[in-house]
Amino acid sequence: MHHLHFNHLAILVSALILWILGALWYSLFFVKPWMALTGHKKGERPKGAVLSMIWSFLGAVLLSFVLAHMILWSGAATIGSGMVVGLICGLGFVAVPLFSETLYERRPAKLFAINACYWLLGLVLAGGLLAVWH
Amino acid sequence: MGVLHFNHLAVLASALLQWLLCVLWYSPIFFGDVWKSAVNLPAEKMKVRMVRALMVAFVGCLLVSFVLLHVLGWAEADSIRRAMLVGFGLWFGFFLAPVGAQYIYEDRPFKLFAISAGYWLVALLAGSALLVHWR
Repeated sequence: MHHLHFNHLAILVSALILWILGALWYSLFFVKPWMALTGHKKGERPKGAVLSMIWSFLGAVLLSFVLAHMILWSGAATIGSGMVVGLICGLGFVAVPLFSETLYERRPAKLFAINACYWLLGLVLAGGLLAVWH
Repeated sequence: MGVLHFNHLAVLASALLQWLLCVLWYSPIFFGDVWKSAVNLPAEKMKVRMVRALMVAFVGCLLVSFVLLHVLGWAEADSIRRAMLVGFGLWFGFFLAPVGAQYIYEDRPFKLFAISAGYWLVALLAGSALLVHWR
């Protein structure tokens, strides 16, 4: 576990990909089921929209930074192996906590599917990118 | 990214530890009551299929421990302190960032987020320490 050298640009691009994918995911692809499931009304201006967009971008930077560590540690150097590392981390550390919450709080399974698929897809894409560009 | 040889018993022990922590964390001893009032579900709905939920939670802990072991191996963490640092990084990057954003978007109670985030932090730290100590 040494100090690693990072390509800051790659991390930033990976965060942008996650962020843009998120914007598309929740505002274009799955906006209708998402709004129905979370009880948002159409045309209603979401509370704290700007704050949550900033937070999610910072979150995406943070996530990309941690993911870049995983990629380097694992020695993944091809798109395929980077994607596998992204998927593994997504399954183990994002999907499991989300799933337990869904189960215990009796939240809709559909909402879990929308959220978890976004994170898994995002991590797979980011993992592939970070593995070849560093 | 080779296949690692690992101690199956340690993964099982780590999962068991995380699961016991989960049971304690969400019991009235710790945050069960706060959690219940924040979730705000009717009592009869709460009780249904508790056994199944607990079993699924254990399988989840197994998965987390299994992935955690791999990451610790990749990171070549060789002391409890370093392992806990890795566990903390994982929590920061893969729980706090994504799940936090989601709570804001869905406008959910902060208390729930804090309880859940606290649990996963403790669980990941405990699991990391155990897995690196017992290889």
